Amino acid sequence: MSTRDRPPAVAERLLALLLPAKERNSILGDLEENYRVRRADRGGARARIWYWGQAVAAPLWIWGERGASMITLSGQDIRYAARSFRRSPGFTAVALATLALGIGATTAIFSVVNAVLLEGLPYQEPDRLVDISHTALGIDIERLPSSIGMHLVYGEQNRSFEEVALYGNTTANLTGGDVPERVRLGVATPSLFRVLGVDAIRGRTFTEEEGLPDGPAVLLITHRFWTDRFGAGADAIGQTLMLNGLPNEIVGVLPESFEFIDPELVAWRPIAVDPATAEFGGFNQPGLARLRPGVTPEQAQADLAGLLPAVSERFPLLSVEMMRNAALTVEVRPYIDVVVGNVRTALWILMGTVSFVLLIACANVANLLLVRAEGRQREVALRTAMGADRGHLYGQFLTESFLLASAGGLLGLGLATQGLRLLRTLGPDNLPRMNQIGVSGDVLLFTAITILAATVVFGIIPVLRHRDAGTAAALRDGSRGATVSKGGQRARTLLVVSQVAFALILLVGSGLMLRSFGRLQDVELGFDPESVLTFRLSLPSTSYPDMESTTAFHLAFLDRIEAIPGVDVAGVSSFIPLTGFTAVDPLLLEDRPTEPGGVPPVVASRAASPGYFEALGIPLRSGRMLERADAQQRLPVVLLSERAVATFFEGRDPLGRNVAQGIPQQPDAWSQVVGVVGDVPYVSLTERPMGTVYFPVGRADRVRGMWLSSSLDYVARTAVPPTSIVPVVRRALAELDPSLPIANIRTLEEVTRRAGAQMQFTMIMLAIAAAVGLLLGSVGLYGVISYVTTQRTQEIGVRIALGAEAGVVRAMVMRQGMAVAAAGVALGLFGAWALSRFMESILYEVSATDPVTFIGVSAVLVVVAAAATWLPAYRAARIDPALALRQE
Amino acid sequence: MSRDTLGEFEKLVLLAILRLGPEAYGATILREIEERTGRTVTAGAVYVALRRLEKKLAVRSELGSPTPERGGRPKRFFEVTAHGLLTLRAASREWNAMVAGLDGMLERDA
Repeated sequence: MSTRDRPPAVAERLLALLLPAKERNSILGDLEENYRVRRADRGGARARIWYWGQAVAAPLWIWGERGASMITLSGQDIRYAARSFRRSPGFTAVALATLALGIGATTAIFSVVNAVLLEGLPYQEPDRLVDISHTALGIDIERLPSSIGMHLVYGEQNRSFEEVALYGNTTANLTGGDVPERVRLGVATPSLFRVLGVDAIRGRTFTEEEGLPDGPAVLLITHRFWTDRFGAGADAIGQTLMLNGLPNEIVGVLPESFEFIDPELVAWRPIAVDPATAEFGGFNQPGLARLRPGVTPEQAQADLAGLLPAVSERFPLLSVEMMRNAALTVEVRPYIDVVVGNVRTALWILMGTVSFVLLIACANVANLLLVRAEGRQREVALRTAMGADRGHLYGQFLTESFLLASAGGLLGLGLATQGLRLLRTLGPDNLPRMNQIGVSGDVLLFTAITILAATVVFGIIPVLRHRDAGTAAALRDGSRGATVSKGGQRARTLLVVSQVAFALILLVGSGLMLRSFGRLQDVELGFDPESVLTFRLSLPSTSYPDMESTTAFHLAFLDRIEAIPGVDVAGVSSFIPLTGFTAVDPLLLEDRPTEPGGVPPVVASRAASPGYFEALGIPLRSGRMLERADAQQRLPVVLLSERAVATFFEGRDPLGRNVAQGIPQQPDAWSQVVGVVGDVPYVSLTERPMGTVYFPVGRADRVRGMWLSSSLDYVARTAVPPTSIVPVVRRALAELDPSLPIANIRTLEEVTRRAGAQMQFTMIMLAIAAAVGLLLGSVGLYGVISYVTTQRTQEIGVRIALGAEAGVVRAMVMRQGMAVAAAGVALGLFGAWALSRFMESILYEVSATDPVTFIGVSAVLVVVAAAATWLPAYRAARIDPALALRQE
Repeated sequence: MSRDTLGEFEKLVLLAILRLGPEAYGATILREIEERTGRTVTAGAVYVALRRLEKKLAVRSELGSPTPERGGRPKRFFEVTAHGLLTLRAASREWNAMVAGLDGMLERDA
């Protein structure tokens, strides 16, 4: 059966959602049957329109039988409504555009909120998944992941979990294809897949034995990689992949729907831990666990907190005293919190914001309908006098509102679909679950409810207006333009006041965001991102097994890059700024030993070449820079950042002092501080930079030197556009070692821009919402003032005839408009003051009640209101008294 | 409105069920009314009327077996109860009593 025989799928889904289970199948069957009959009789297009009509009307008769009996959607009523819309094309266009904007914006943001925040995670019983992490506020660390030692003790002794797991990610060079590739890998204890409740669709997941240090090198590949690389063939299992020059056997394929931490991963590899011989390890891997049924995260947290002494017993390196001094605590949070993290607040704020836009839109349409209702009072009275059934008349009004809301809703749905497409391309990469955003059943239901609510709100207005108006009174009142009623006028003014107030709240929100973003742009970066190319290069330990070969390679490659025409200076560092890397190590001073049980302060460590500081423009504060000899001879020298000096030396001169990294019992080799450089934010723009220690690349550091130097970020300051040298860099690398891939090729400006992307995204969305709100609000204000002015034409005519000057008349009308605007602004300021504190956590160095913003946006609104009032005022002043009076 | 009086549209639905006999279900009822009266009828109106008629005990329904030409979905068949028939007869009597003698006037327009 071809799909064209089937009714429109989206409409059918909508109906299926709305219909009560008891009636669902038989009614869907009836509709499908009649859809086919209609298709055969009148063609596909008309049948589809008919089906959509039934679907859109469904909420009315499913939930409100009375509404259905009024909205008959009979051909006659629809024709009547269509005629009345055609007669007032201006009203129809404005109302439709307003509704489409309001419903479209709300639907688009709801789709995002729904996909990101409301839908459960795609794992088995996701509510029982929790994240295990730590805080150490005593040494100023807000979040520490888990460590192997913690994991082992938690896993063996907890009473709250079914199972615990550790995971992380890494990158590796994949060779054996046409070109070497840099790929992303997940690493996990074999338990991870049981915790998540996922099984391989081909082969199997990891065995416990594969999670031991000398276990076989095995891989679980993702569905995408399986399809791309092996054409989804069954023969992938058992094949070997070369990662960092070592063979790994594929033992399983993960399901297509499976995604964890990073959608780009190609495969998972076991984390090797032997409970018998494991060392404590660094706080480097996040922990995940599945709660036993009925256990809450809080209970689990209390359970784990009680295990901290046991950790110390088993791993004496971390004494109970150290834990106390560092204020080490364990934190168990629902895993969903980790996934949605800091976007939760931003998204709810956006959702609240667009609801305001929808409210403004509804107020606008309600106002338009009120005006129309006034205008039609005579028509209604006449028809009632001639015997028309009142119920039927109301039904017609409801039919009109309903058609209006549905058409606006459908347009809005189209707008939302387009908007989401745009959002997916523009949105920040770090918006979680971005790929799941779409127009789903929930979203359709949401739109349907919005339409229904809008219908009821608008439909009721003309009905209420007419129910009270006596037929005789309306008919007696012969003059056309003088039917302005006090009640209607008050209602309209109130609606406009609330529109202005809502618009002001929106403006305050986007204004605060704009100011935050401005502050973010002003952040003292500590480096100059302009005209710098950066990329990452990793040396596999198979070809570069020791520090000598690693250092020699990096120095040789740097020489070649610097020889490229257009390159001023090039350098390397373990990590460039703003890439979010947070691993830290304790810093020890030789002439001031740590007290027993004390916790040494921690700093970030980096390897760097001399050219790094020059290429990034990081200033030297005292002493000397790193020199080429430091790297070549691997001298025991280090640079410290200003903040590290401020933390550890308390005003004394750090130059010439010896420092080391490591734990107090086992310090690494001591190095002499030879210089102090400026601070650079390595994590994010909004966090203050951490103290940092820079080792020369290639330092023969026992513990950290190797991993800090084998994978490095290259930076090259150029006199030409940075990306133009990429092909030359690739050729230079191929001459040195054709098996090495280059990863993360970007300009430093791009890196800096991305760091502000999420705030920028929120800012843009709020700005759009505020602009729409302002537009709709001013249209509303304009509409009401011009309507009132038209109603007063005769009165104004009399005034002018009696000698009132144009300026006086203009001022009179302006005063009326500005009074409405001022009331709205006052109300809005109060609302904004009450609501803006919900934004506090996403603002940066701007108070939620920032007076500059509040005063600024009020001024903007007053100016716009003045503009919206000026036109009617101008027209009023030009009223020809003779014409106006003749109308009487 | 008393429980036993029928709305105008409800009468049409009852008559359609009687005409259709064993083949009376949502889709055919809607088509029958549309074809005979020439009006456009929304499916919703039919279902609302059917619900009310069922509540007034004028009709009863039974679920049939799944049918392939409707996407494998079952039909809900309707049948007029004895009570429904009585009510309809009463309504018809009233109508006829009022129409008697006016045949000429009423036919003219048709």
